[in-house]
Amino acid sequence: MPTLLVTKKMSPELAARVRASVDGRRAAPGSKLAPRATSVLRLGATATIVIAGIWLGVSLYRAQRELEARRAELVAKAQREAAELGPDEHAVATRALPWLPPFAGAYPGDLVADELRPAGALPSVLSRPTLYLRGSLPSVASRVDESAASSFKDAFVLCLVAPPNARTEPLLKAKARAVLSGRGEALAPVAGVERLQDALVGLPFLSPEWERKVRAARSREDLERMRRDFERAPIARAKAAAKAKLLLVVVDEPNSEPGPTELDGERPHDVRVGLVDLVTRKVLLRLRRRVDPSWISAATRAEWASGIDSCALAMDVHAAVASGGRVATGE
Amino acid sequence: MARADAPTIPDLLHPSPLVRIDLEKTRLGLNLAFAGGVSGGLFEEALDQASLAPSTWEPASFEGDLFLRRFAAGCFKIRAGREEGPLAATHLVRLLAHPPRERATVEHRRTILAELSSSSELRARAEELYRALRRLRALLENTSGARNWDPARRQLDILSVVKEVFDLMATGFAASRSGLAILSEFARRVLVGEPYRSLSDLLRYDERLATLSLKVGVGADGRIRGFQVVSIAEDAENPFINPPWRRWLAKLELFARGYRFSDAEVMTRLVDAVFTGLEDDIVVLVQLLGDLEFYLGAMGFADQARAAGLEVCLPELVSADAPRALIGLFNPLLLMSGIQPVPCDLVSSHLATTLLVTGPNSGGKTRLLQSVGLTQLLAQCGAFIPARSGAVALSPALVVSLIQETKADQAEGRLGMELLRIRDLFERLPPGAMVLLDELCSGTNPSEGEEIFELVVEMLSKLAPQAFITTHFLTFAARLEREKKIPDLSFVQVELGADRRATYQFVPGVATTSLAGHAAERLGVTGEQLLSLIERNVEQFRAKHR
Repeated sequence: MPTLLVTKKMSPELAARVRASVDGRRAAPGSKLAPRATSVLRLGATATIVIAGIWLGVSLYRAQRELEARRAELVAKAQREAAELGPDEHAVATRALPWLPPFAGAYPGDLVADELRPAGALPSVLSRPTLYLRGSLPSVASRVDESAASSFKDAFVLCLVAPPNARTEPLLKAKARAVLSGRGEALAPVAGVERLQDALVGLPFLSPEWERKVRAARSREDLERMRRDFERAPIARAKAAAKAKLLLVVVDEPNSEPGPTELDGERPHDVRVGLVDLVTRKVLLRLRRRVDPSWISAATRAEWASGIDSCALAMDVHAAVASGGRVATGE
Repeated sequence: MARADAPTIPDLLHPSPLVRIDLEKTRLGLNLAFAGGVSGGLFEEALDQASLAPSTWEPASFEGDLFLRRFAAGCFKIRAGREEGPLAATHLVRLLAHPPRERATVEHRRTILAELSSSSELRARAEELYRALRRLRALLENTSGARNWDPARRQLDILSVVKEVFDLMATGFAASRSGLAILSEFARRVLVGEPYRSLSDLLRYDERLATLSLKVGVGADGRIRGFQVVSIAEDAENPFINPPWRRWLAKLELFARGYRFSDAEVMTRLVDAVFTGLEDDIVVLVQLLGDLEFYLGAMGFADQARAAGLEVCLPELVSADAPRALIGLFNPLLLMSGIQPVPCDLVSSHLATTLLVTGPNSGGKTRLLQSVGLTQLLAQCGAFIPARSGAVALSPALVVSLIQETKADQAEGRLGMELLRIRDLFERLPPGAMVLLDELCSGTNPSEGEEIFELVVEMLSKLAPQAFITTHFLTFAARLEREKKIPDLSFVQVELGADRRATYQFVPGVATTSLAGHAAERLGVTGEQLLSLIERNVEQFRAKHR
């Protein structure tokens, strides 16, 4: 077998002996294994290491390529969704949140803007896309995330947009029941109302900041977690929320008077209602009314007091707007 | 034993070179020794088991009586730096105990010894060669026992000594007219071969991969201020030189093939390749070392004798009819024991005779027999004899009976054992053999012993031996001398000086006294001396038990 130890200047006899020596016919001093056996072991070990290295390299390359593909796919999906929104729409939460503290602070008094006074003006205004938030006064004041998370389209929203024909317990209860049923046809009137929570939760996934995070993700696990978060995020509702022109806020004040609390948590308390035009940045409505479930029949009150009160509050708002803000609560 | 054709074997002991060591076995040992430095006595073992030239002598018949092993160790000392005994003592003893049957072989050895003793230059070269071979043996067998940290360096050292040996053989013996010339012939054949050229190239590669010429700048204060490389010249013609990148790749290749990744491993492979090419030429050097020990040992024996004021010689080889004349004969066993031997002359009408030796106790009769036996043995081996001059007839056998030790398991008494020896002697004795018998039939009553004695001497004469028999049967010996009934029977006696003491010289005739009284007096066995010892013991005994 040729060897690099042989030079062209060597005689054929010497070259043959050098080859024989290298071929391992003579044992090396002190060696426990024959050179050929050692060679086989070393070549085997080297081949194993090289194959393992190649396999590792290919695996890493494939994993990286897959990671990049997933990343690109996720970024593209986010970009597609984000592209449907304008810059103002992306910033809807930023525009809405500053309006909340005033509604949770010292109450300055009722207000009905002129735009709402004409007959039919309120329903017309409310037909525009709206963000909705309802929460207790302390949470609205300082823990918006908390109140946003627990705020849903309730009987107040439904009754505000589509008030019942009369302020009777059965009709109000029907509205409350419709909200709780969650059926599409029942909630169709409030399709233009979106939760502030959806905007707060969903819109960050469409922001450049989140895209940077996706691009910065180093591991497949991180990227997979981001993908799962993205897919779980209410992107569609967030996009709808982003298009909101109004902010509807309901603030439940703490109960200042002792009284029974119903099984669903309802009790007599003051409620502030606010409506802000996010486009013109103007407060259209600010009312403070008291809700009290005591007028509801005992059989209904235990289960539906909250929904009925909320619907009744919406009817109070309609009445207040109709009367230019001078309508008393209850009938 | 294989007769060597080409390539030549540097055999110094035989006119037709013979391979006497087991080449295959020795080669295997050599390979092991070269590879690992542990050969388990490569040289000694190979020489101990070497075959010898055909011989008619049986060592058991004389080896013990002549103290041959002690003689070889004590007298065949070799001048190799400091005086040393033979390395392969067993081989030397076997060689001495098996004198060659062929006279040509004896003459061959005598010629070499004669040349060595006449040419101090040749002897110096032989000693130099012997020293180099011993260095080679020491390196191969790692006789120092030191741990070898650099195997490649050790192997290069071995190859360096191998080259030195071949060079010495080629240049040191070219002028020889004796059998030593074979060393030169052998080495010249090696020197023109490819393996030797490769050996030279490898050693040059090891010593001078490249030559770097420097200019050294020295300041006014004598300090070195700088170096400047003037030129770098690589020995481009050397077949072992590889470019650096190729050397590195060669290391990688060796690693893949199961060797170590090192420059030393590269060198080891090259050394191995060179050594393999020289194996056949190196292995015969083992035999050469044993041969040289014979000649240099013989020269050492001559040196010792000369240092003691004695002389040795290569005897004249004559027929058994020729007169015996050993002049200045001395006992080398005395010499090696540090006792100054007294040379004597031993003369008789012809060699093939039975010589009855008589004389006083401690007069040198037994020493004479030892001297004669060793003389015959050395002469027949082709070596110097312990005499100033002499004539020796080659003998087909040597039977010596000098020591009569009592053994615990011996089946017979002293006479019985002696008779058994006589029986054994006649069973093995060929015509013309040399027979040395000390105090024959001394173990029984003289009148009956004399009868057996006469019978033995008479029977011996039928074999025309060279026989030497000592006896204290003086009256009987005188009768034999007087009657002259037995042919070829001669008589010598220890010469006595004016003070009736032995002079250790031998003159014709039969002694009239054994001077036992003198011996008794000398050793303190007179009546007066014994009485005083008895009185002293009695006094001490009484004092102890008082």
